[in-house]
Amino acid sequence: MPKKQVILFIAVIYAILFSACDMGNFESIGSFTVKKQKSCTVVSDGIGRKFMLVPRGEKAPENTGGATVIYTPVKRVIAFSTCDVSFLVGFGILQEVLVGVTREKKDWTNESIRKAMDEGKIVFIGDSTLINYELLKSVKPDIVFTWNAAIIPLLEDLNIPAVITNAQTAMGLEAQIKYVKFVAPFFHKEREAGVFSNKFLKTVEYIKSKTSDVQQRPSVIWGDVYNKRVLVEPNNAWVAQLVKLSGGKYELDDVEGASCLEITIERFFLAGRKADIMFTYRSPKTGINTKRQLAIDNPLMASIRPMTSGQIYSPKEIYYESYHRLDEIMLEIASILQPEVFGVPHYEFFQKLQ
Amino acid sequence: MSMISKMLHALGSIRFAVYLLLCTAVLLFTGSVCQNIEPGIFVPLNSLMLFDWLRTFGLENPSRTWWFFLLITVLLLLGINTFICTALRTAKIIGLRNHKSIMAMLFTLSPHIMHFAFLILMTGYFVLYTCGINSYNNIMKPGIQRHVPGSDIRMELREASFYPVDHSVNESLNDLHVDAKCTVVFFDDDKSDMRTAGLNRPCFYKGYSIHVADFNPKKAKSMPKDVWINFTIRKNAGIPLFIAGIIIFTVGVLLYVTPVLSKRKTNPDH
Repeated sequence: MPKKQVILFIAVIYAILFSACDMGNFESIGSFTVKKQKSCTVVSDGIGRKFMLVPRGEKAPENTGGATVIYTPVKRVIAFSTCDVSFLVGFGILQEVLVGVTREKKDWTNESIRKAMDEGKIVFIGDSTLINYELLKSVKPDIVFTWNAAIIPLLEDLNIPAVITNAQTAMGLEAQIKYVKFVAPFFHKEREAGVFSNKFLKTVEYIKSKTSDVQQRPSVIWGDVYNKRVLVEPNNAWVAQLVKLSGGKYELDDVEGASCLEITIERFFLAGRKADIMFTYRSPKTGINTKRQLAIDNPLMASIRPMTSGQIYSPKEIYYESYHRLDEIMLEIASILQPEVFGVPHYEFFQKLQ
Repeated sequence: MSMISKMLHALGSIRFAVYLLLCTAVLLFTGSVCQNIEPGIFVPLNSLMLFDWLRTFGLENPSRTWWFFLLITVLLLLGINTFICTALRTAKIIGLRNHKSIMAMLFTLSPHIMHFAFLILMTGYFVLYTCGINSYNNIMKPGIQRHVPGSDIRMELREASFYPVDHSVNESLNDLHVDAKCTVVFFDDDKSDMRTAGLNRPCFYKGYSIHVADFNPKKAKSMPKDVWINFTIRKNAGIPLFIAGIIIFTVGVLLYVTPVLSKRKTNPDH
């Protein structure tokens, strides 16, 4: 059998296969992607919509491959998510670029945001479910970062690109760490994003190295019971993966899907019976600061183990505005789970319900 | 034997086919393991075209995707092997046509016709995943027009109506919309054409299929009351090949089965 000819044939096939490849720098970040090309960067958002980021002063190519062209750096942005706002804080460009938010001034802890809202530089455009589109239009944003895909047609009417910043499945730990690299190209902050991302990765490595020999692994659940619904973080979410890395055991390890996933009350109680620690979604703003208050608010929660003999933690408002300090958040979660290894928690991002 | 002839015989040999099938089995098993370790890399295969995925997610994660590149090569070789083997045997059978009746020849050819049909079907799949269009999340409100991807055709959502369920046992399910029906208008040059689409009832226009993937409002009494439909737009370039492959395969099956059945009728003891 002429082996050399067959091998040559296979080599030719591979040459054809890769000849059309643009070996530009491609990175996938969960459902998001970033691809650096010669004169632009092509990103795809959480639902796969493509955007071609072209530096101001340069001409967009004629064939954009269906991508929406956005000229960068973006100068005026409306952000629905506190996560995206926190990265603007981290990049040091909050005052320059943020022009609209969907939370009122009283709901922010960041003083610079509150001050900018007082001065009218950042506008409250309405709650995320009740946007004032006239106000949104008057603010003249270059783009809107939103999780709500339903507003895409309305914004298209106004000629404003909408970038969807959440995905159909919850972001894993690696994706959450690298998400800053998706936001960065819009503002030409790729170097800063690299610094943040490396810092977060080093923290993960540090946590992993310290918990490899841990014997006692507390059981953890992350979720809450509301009036008629039970919402939890699934096993593929970054918080669940962090719990496992930090020397914990995530009880909902058979649940996969989007963040704030609805499960049955029976499944929640099955996990709740075994859990030592529970993280809720409710912040102190809801008025729940003690276990007793939580039990009164929802009697169904009274019998789960974190309530009777374990620990319950709720995130403070600052937690939601501190994704640029993800390394500190991760260390605090690790110290809650393994105080002997990481020291007593500082409780900067979470409060322990007494 | 000339070099080309040797190569053709080598590529079309049964021995080579067996090696390729063994490689396919090993690579598929490896793939099932790799996919379980990091499924997120492979999820975009549902929406991206094959070569787009290969040069992005595929090249970004070589330690998890190397088996996929090899599998494509092996399957391509398997296709070539099947084609050459079938073509050589078909040529031989046609060469013996003077020694057989037409029906006998067609009967002998029928498995090879089925092989060719199978190759056409696989080519259809290949064309679908390399040349097709798969456009997700085309969210449209009534009155808004947008371009159909890859064409100058514009489409507009005209009307949308929603159908709630009436659940006699679980009242909390009442009011939920379980279906949406909408009218889509296509504008192509000066012409316009209307189609109706619903959940699991796509509409078709000039090679495109328009599927309803999601809609709003989800309940009859819903806040907000925004009306929108999320369309998935596909262009299935491989459909003509599928249909051709199915027709040819059916012909092959009939050519094989008919003489067998008629033999049993004339000789019931056999």
